[in-house]
Amino acid sequence: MARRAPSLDIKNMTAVQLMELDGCMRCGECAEWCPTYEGSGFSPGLSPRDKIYRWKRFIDKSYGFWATLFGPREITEEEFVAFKDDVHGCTTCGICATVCEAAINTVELWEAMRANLVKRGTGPYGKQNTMPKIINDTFNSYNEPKDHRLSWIPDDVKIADKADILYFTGCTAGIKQTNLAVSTARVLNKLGVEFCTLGEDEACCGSVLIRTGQFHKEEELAKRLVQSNVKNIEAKGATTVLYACSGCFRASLVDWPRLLGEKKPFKVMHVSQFLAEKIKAGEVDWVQKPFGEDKLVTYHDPCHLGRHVGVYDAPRKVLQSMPGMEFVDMKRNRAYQRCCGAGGGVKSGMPELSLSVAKLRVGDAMSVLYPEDEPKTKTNIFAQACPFCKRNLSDGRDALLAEENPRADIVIEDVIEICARALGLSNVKD
Amino acid sequence: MAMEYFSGVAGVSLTFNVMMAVAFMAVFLLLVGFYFNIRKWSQGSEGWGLDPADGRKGNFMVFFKTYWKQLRSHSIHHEQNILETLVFDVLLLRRTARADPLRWFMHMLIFIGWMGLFSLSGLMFAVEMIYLVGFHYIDPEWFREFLQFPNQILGYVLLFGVIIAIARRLFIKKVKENTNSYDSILIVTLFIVVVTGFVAHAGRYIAFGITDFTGVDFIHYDYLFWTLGGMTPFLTYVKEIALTHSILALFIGFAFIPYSKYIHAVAAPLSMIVNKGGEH
Repeated sequence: MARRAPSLDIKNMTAVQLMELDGCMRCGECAEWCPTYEGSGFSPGLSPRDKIYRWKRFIDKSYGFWATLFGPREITEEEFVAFKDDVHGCTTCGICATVCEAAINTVELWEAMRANLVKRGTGPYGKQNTMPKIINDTFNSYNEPKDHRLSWIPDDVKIADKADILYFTGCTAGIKQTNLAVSTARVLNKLGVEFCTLGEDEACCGSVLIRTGQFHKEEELAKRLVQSNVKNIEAKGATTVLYACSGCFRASLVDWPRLLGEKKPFKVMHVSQFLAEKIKAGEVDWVQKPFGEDKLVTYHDPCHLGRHVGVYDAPRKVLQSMPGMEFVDMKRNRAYQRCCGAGGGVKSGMPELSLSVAKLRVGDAMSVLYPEDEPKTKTNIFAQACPFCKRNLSDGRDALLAEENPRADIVIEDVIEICARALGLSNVKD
Repeated sequence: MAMEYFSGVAGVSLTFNVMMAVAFMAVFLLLVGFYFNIRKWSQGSEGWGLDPADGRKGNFMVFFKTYWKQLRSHSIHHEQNILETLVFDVLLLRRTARADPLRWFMHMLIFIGWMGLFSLSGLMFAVEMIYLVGFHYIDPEWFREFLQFPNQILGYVLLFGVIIAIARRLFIKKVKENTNSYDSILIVTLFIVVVTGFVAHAGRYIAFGITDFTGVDFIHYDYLFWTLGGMTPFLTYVKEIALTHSILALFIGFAFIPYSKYIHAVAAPLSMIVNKGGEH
């Protein structure tokens, strides 16, 4: 009798990742911290421990001891579809990797599983499969014409044609949340930093394709995007590239070299790191309290800036250096912060789950900005450094306000927007 | 005449040769298990974002090459020294200690007990082999007696760890709810191996009159406890119990590693090392 072919073809998973599956001791620490598992009301399939175990079973059924001796056992399509749904209910925030007692690199494991399922034809999740085509056609993830990338630029902002420093705007700041791009540009101008951008030639950083396991689609689209960006950055003569978007920053720091297969010929920095250096050098003179009066401010570490690449201090130093800003950390901060709920395609794929996580995170901020035993006398500030976090946390705040929770009355702004305020600059175009 | 099996029971039915055959069978099964595991791991690709290369799926070198490449690669998070990872994360289970002190205590007891007994068994085996080839520097029988006390202590360390593990699975609601057969088999088999070890050891001492029972001491009560007050069946079938324990210890505590959740004892340290201690 002919042997059954394995239901699962091991694509996109490294030999070390297959070993890591066997390293899981099922301690459950990941489940204790997972934001979407908690946000879903502890749906068992979303537990990282469960996902590792199920995938290990898939691998064992296809390539394990018994499968080798007696032939692979079938994995049904229903099992694959259920798994696909669960593995996409993850923001790839990485807290499971941080707390994993076996030090398993779970973020890369989830992304590899997603890519495997996409190659198999089971993934991605919902509308995510439209992204590669959109990005291939427009080079941005919002299906906007290329020239719309320039529409955020106010008349007063000076952008050089070529410069040592290049500001990589990103699709979200350049097209949707233009306050972030406007603030960044005005702050750089105010500090006398000559910079250029890629303008219409800027391409999506590829993050959304990588996070959803689709980087190989449209003829290695992600790689082509990166090649285009790197070539254009080199043509601008830039040696340092600044990012205000944590997603783009993470992609350029971690993913670009891997896609290119070589080191980038320039240095990359998050704008908060750049400002922290300027402040340390005494080159920043704040001109006013950002909000006109003393405020309590807390900071949310974006996963892509914090846990993924380890930038924790710079945004805090920037906030703490401003007048009228009393800084307080949330209980869950830095490596142990709680994700905002937007990453990994969850915001677009499972908006309700994303909102539920955002509400939890806003709750974390409320507990330090407005302690239960103190009367609320003013509106305090919840800062972050990522447009996706800002959007989702704002949605979480609005949902809590709609549920008549007055303590959710919080101003949510990006660190660079607050910087613009402290320098007396407007963060809107007109 | 066959040499007596010093580590077990002196008797005609259980000779050194018999135990050697059993031990080699266990080692063989262990190696076969690892072969299949490494073969399984080698189905993967050699780097991020790649598919397995044609014609190399299952080739042992794929795993070792990928592991080495990742070990040598730059880490964005940190570059934890391999020695620090080995000492703090692998041996002292620092990451577990941060998360849950009780689980850390349990793991350490099992780890120390298991590794200790395994090492002393290895030492006993080495002494026997040296004796067998004609170097009579150490009398194996004397050495076996010398190891009794540390063996007994390590046995209790392991037993205490296993009891905590069972208690967690039975009485902590969240742990109980998330326990499946993959977890249970590990703990139950370990418990059986440890208990049969104590019973065999105590029965042998009473049945063969090795120990001196003229005084009332800890050892006395200890041996009586494990034989339920020196009950006849434990003494009559002491050889069979000892044989059962030895076989269980070899096949469950050793050969079973690559076929069960025990594999984490190998794969988790490998993961910690290759990921340079993990994120934090």
